[in-house]
Amino acid sequence: MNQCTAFLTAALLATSTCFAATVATESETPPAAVQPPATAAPASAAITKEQAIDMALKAHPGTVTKAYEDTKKGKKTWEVKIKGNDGKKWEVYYEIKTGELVAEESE
Amino acid sequence: MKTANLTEIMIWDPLIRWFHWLLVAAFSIAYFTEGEPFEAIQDRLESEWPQNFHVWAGYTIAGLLLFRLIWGFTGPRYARFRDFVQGPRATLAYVKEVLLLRAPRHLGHNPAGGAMIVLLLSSLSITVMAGLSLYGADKGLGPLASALASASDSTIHTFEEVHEFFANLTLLLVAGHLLGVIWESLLHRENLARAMITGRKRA
Repeated sequence: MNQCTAFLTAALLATSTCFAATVATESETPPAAVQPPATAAPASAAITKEQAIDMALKAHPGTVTKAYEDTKKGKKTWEVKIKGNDGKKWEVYYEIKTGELVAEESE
Repeated sequence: MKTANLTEIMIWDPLIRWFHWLLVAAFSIAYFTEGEPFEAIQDRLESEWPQNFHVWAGYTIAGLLLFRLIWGFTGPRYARFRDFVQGPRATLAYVKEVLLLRAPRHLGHNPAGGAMIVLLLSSLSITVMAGLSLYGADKGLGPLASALASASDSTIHTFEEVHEFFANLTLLLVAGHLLGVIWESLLHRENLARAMITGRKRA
């Protein structure tokens, strides 16, 4: 049983390490600092979190419950969660490096 | 002076106990970091670390399930599926005996406990698979990202619904498991939770 136990422990550790390496790679934040433009973002320009919030609130007025960096469809985005005045919960995603809308979801 | 009744023997091997408690910790973390009842707390944390914790916990659960599957065929006697997996008729008959307070004591898992383990492992497996699919299709991350890159919104929504449903079902099953542990502990006057820590039970 000792050999079997050692083998299984090693297999479990190897699996976890493999998965963990994937997550660690995915969690890395791009090193480039985002330059905050003074006004609304032009197309194909990096945007700040504040700009993403402004854009999301214009599209879906309400109260922002959370805004943070998230990945959507493989793109680094600002996710803005809004408790909308329309009674819905909105999640709006803008690509950080271009300012383009990647997705908006409601529930 | 020791009597036969006070003699304890090893029932749960160390790996089964580590598996059990790591699974408890990983599922708790996964549920707390993305579960709907805790959304208000998650929203107060201005970063994506709750999501990263959720993913790490999910991968840990995947590894643990894989281990349990292998251990169910290769582990010691009481860890093996054939020791505790019984048909629906035997399981229901045992449940009836439990409710009538006359269920016989088992050293390993009793038939009802065995059925609960199968249900828990199945529900967790579906939760993990749906979670990995959702992670790949929606975020474009994880081992299934390239395979699910072109998933439609309705497919993503289905992954999300299945993931949530089975996570909540697992929570419900955990409640049933705890109820069973308490009931059996009282019925047979033994601390089954302690046995899962020490590995030992009254002979």
